[in-house]
Amino acid sequence: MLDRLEFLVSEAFTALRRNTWMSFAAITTSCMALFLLGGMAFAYRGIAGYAETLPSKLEVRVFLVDKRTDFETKQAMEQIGKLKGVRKVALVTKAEAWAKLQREMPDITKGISNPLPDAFNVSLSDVDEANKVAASIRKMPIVEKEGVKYEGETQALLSQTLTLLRWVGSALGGLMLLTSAVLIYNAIRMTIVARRREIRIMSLVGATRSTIVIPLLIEGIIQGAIGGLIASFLILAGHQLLIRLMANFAGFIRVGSLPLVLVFGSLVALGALYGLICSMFAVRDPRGIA
Amino acid sequence: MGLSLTDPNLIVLRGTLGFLAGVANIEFKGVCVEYGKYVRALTDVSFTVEKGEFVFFVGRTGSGKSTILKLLSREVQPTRGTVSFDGLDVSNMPERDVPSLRRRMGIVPQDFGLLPRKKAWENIGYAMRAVGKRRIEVRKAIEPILENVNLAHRADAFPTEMSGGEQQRLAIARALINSPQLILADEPTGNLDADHSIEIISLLQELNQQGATVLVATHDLLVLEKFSQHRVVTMEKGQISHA
Repeated sequence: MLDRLEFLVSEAFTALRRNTWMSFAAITTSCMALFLLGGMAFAYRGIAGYAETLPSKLEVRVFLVDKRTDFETKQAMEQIGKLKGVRKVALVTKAEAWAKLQREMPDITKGISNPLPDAFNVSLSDVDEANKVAASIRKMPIVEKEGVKYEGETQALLSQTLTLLRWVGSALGGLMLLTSAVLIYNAIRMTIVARRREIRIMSLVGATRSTIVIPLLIEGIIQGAIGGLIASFLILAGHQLLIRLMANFAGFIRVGSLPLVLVFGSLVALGALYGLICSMFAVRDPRGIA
Repeated sequence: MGLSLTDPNLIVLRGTLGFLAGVANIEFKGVCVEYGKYVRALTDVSFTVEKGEFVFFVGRTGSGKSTILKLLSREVQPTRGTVSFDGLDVSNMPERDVPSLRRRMGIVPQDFGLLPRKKAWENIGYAMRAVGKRRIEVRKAIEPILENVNLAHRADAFPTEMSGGEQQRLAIARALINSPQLILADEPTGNLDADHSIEIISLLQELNQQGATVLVATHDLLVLEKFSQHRVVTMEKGQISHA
């Protein structure tokens, strides 16, 4: 079994050596396609993660003045609860808010005292009522000046950015994948042409179709997997570069950590699968060329 | 338990019974081969070859002699008619059974089909590895095979360093890796001088004496004259003119 595998794998490596430039082209293109897709996926994941930390589109945050009584607070809550389009009102004390911020941004909260006020989280049942609700709450005496924060616009912008990223990533990545598919296909066809003598001999002496085809499939898998491996290193390098660039904005813009095993594992596996599929198309009739 | 048509036990049994009964080892029945609409390579060809026979197929270029060999090795399929070898219907055999059919034949192509970057022994070893022989089996088998064709002393030579006769002997050696019952040689003397031609046919004759059925496509008159004791099938415009 191992003996057989050794023969098939050595045949694949012989083909890779012979078609150096075509293999190089196939590997670099599939690498760029996977880098683009992987990079986009990482950026998407980062922005989507950031979006999750923001209040929902259906949420208004109301910061309260310190000088107020519990009765005033309770009364304001009741009034807000009765407004059209409001689903729920919850009080978030400054201590709760500070604890949450400390968890999310330990760098900038370290060593300073809690500057946050108490706040209401107002959940809306109808986003169209957001402006009216916000205007009514602003008039209340226990609400801080400019203390009504409604992040619907930020959310909408992020949502548009994510959609754009998804489309651009899919279009560019798809285009690169298509190009690399053609190149891997060509590389395998070139291998078949370059090795037509061997393929003919194999065929004449009675080699099975799998013996003829498996080295070609292995070649495609290797090309795709190497492409995925290089793409993973490029993403790692890009991530490190991004961390350095963003060092000046520490605390405000956080670059998420890179799940190394996931990135390397998924891109190499994806590349290998991709190479396999492309080469399967290329070897449909290897003897036809021989 | 069902037996496959290509089951080795069944093949041996059928071959033995056929030999004892004098049944034809190879049979062509009304075989036509057409390439496209207007090109006819063979027209209604029928003949039989007994087990252990040595047969020359002669004729001009394009007469159809190579097509007969290719029909047997299933490189070509007939448009009409049937081709059978050792009781197997080669013409209608499923594609998956073709490799096992070819492992029962030794095919010597017209152009030798040697790998120029591999030494003589590597050419044999490569073919053996391709049919699933293990490295250890290959090591053991190479020397006897090369000795069989008097090439043991040239084992480390590359094909480009060998004479035409040596290259052809190497191609024949490669055809022997599966200990074939049938040897198909397409113009084996086409690129050789008279001495080497006789040497190659003598070698094929020796293999025939060892029990293999040998079919040779040739237009070499010198060879035919020298080995006139063997059966000659003459081809003309895709038909048998003399059997």
